Amino acid sequence: MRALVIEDSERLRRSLTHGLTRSGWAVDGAADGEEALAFLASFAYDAVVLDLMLPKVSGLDVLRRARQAGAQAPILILSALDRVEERVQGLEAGADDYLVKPFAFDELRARLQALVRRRHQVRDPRLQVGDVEVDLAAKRVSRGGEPIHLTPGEYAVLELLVLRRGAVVSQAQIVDHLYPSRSEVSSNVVEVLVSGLRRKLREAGSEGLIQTRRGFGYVVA
Amino acid sequence: MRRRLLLLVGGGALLLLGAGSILSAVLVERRFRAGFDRELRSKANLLASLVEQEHGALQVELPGDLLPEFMPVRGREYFQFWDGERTLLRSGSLGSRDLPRARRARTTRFADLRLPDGRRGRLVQIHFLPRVEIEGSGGLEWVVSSDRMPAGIDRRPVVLVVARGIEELARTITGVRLSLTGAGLVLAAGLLLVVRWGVKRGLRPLRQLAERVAALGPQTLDARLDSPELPSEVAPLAARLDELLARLAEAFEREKRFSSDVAHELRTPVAELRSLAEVAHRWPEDRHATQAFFADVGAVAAQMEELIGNLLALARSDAGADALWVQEVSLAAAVKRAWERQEPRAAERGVTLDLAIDGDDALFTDAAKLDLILANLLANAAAYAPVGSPVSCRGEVDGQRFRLAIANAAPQLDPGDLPLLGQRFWRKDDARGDGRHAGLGLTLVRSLANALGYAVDFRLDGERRFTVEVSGPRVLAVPAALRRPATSPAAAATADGADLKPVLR
Repeated sequence: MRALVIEDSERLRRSLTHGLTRSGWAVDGAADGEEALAFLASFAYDAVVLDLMLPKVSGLDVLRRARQAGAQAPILILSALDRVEERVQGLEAGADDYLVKPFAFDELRARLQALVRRRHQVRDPRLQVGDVEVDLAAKRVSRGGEPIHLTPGEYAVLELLVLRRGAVVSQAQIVDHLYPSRSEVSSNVVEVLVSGLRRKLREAGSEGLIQTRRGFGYVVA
Repeated sequence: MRRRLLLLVGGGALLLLGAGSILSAVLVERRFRAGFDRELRSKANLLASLVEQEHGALQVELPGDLLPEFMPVRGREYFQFWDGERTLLRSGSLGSRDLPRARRARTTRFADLRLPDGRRGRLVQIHFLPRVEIEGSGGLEWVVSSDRMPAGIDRRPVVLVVARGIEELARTITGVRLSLTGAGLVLAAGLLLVVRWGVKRGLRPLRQLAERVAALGPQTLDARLDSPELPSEVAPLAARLDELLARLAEAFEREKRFSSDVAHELRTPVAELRSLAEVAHRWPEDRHATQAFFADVGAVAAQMEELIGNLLALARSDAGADALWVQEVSLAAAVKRAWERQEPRAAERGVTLDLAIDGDDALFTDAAKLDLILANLLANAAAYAPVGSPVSCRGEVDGQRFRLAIANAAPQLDPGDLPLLGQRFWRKDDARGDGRHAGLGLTLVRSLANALGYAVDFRLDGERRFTVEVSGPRVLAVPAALRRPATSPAAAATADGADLKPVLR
């Protein structure tokens, strides 16, 4: 999953980026409203964390302009403004959730995951795909109760394919959702990850979960 | 207050009523006694008119049936005539007993006595000359007046004492006393009720005012007590209370805003601390990131420490709780010292200081507070002046006053921002992420300048050049009543000879 953290506090942005990255997210960071609008115009994010009091362009204006431009990403406002009218204003401007500073990092992460599930119309975080179970909350994969140990990259690919079950996902889309914008990514990284994923699923006894649509990408049926 | 009024008004009224009753009783009693004495005297005059001197002998023609009160058996009144030492006549009621008389008295005399029958009584003693029968032009006639008394007639003085019981008088007086006492008690009760009602009614506006004051709370400080219905005696009190309420409301609003601002200002650094701590705790194996987080935690703590320090300095300055320590300060040296602390940031942004002080730059002021003022002004200039631009600092010091103007280009400021400068936590940009400026610097400058008696003026010219001018007396004036004993030789230095000493304001 790919997230954009829009926060003018460099220290907070850094810690959030680090924590979300370690949780399996690909994270971009924006320090002001102008930078945030540029990111939102260039990439499709699975979730956005948005501070309201931003230099140059305020958070509310970023929110309104992103929605007007057609951005569909779930947006969570993370702000020190805690009055009811401020929260209502944020939600009415197009935000999907509102969290007041200070906050617990685990709560922020859980809310972002819930926003992603809601976007893909998945209510139960434990998804059954064929004979494989994917726990989106715990980020675990198992078959018949036996865990299948995946690397964070392999899990991220499987999670994306499972959430978009039935749809073909291109290699470029997978790269976009797995790596931040400034990352150097080799051209065959997706093939390597999918290959490793298939091997571990096969070793666990699950065959044919991920299918290749040559020239288009991958799909989980 | 009500009890005191009741005590004073009620007690005073009762005292006056009691005194009036006693005075009335005394006057009425005197009048009754005077009437009794007049009656007694009339009776004595009647008896005296019955005494005649004929041919040198004294005779009393007593019509016994007309004066039964003097009769032997049923008579309860007494008289006795004396001709010199000899008793001329006694009333039958007296028997052989004598009435008391004052032998030397020559005028009418009244006295109380114990009557022969044991009752309490009153007597009148008169001294008179009896009438004399003479041969007049028209025959025999009685002469009383000495003017018409023929020569050669020697009239013999007679003394008469008449006495009677005073039980009827005593009964009347007792009746009057009882009537007055009863009427007094009824009046007193009525008076107390009237006084109580009057006091209660008179104090009603105060009680209503007290009830309205009691109903006031932090949520109703906008209520006002003065109204046209209030009596003129209470209206000034309500007006003063309203003024107090206005000041309280303003202070409450300021404190609420301040608390809210403080809480808000602390949310971001606390969020930073919590996020840094939680992420570092969850993935401790990433040593490089964890070390960086620790450095961030230190920076956040330093930022919070600075914020708290500024808040405390502001609170102390606003409360006037800081001692003023007056000493000689070189203005140029103080500016240089303050700029040195800003130089790393200024050098980073290519901002330079252009300093010029005219005249003898010695001030007599509180050096620490002046340093804080300069540090805040120069920190703002170093942070907000455009990259690579100069900060101008011009000073003038003469015998009486000084003026220091710090100016820098400020393209981000609008004229409409000037009234907001100096308000707590106000920043041109709402973003708090910078962490270096909490919007307290100019507030603190104003508060400190106020404590020192200096003026602070913000100006923005047409070319968006922002100037802060601080001006004031060269020698900090210390009211004589506020002087404290000097504990430092420097504190005694003055320009005009007046003592300059630490002072608690």
